[in-house]
Amino acid sequence: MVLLDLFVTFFRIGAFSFGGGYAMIPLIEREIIDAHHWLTMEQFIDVVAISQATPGPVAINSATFVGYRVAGLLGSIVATAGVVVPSAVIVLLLAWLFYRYRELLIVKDLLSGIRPVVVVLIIMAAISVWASSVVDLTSGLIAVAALAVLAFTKVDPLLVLLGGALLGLLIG
Amino acid sequence: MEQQEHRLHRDGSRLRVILQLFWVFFKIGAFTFGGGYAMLPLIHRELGERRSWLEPEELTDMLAIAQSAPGVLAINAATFTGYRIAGFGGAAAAILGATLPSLIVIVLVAIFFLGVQNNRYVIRIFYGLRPTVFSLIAIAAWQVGRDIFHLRGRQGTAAGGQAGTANDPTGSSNVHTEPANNQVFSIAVATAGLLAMLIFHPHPILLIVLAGTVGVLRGFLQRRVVGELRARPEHPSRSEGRGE
Repeated sequence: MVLLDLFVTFFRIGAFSFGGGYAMIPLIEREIIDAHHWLTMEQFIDVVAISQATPGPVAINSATFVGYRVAGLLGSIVATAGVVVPSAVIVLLLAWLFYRYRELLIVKDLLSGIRPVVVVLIIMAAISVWASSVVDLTSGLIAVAALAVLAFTKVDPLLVLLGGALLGLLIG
Repeated sequence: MEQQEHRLHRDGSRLRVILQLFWVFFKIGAFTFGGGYAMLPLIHRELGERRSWLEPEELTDMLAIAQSAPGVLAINAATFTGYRIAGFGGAAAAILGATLPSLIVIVLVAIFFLGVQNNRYVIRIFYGLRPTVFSLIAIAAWQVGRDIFHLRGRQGTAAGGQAGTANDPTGSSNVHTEPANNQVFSIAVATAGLLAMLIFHPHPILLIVLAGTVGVLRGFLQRRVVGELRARPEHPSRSEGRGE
């Protein structure tokens, strides 16, 4: 029952990996390389590289890719659903609790502590993306220019992304 | 049980809102490179400024919850936002929208284009794209930080506020009007958290748990010292819960 196995495996990945993005990679690695041998280490590195060259979160991309390799289109849908379902259920529960109990002092206190570290985590993500994306003067200039456009104009962020892609194609 | 947690505009048709949610998150899913945070300015723009479906401070609370839950940040954010705006149907539409682009692209890659990451045009595109992803994340830090650290007036509910106060009987716009010592507290927690991350590299979830604990302890001590309840629960039926 390979479909069930796919679903359960990616359900575990979705349910037990905190921190999102690359924080999920060790768990994905353990499950699909060590435990199930669905991919070799080399193939997995390719999947991570493909994830960087395509839209979408690494965990979703890995699930889709592995699911497709193991059981075709249906496999990719099942594996992706496996990643999505646990966190969606947990977030729905948290959202429901939040809107129901956010007037409670303990919820307010909790969030008063968590909100500032939300910013910290975003700053850490920015630092890590800067380190991996700004590799020379040109890419540094693109980053600064894009920042200026986003900060001082009302240009759609999607257009800024497209502009960056176009610049890369022309001068990269 | 499902009361007023979500803010479905009762005058508009539910289906239209759900379809719009799907489309917004489809766009976000199609253009989210490099992790979940880059999508924040897109959510801010599409749902905050353009449609007034979310208030700025809700974006922050959404993030706090999305980060505290396991799984993919972008999916968590889509789930929370969709649920807030249109209930379970909204959550499902947002999740589907956010997931579908990568599903389509990865299946196509698996079928036709396994070497995509080595293609020289793709490499060039990403050379230019990645720095703009950095900029999106930096702007997200600013947008969220501005809100948390009260770096601008709250009362000016510019784009997001009006629909919110009109349609939100729970009065969420009052939730965040806090005294200035909270600003000092927020900045202190953020500074400590940033230093901790840079020096000790703890797991993000550990930082979240610690910060939440600090918030609860501080609230407890403050009420002990001040001896009064700052925030009175708005729902009379829930007021017995203030005893924490």
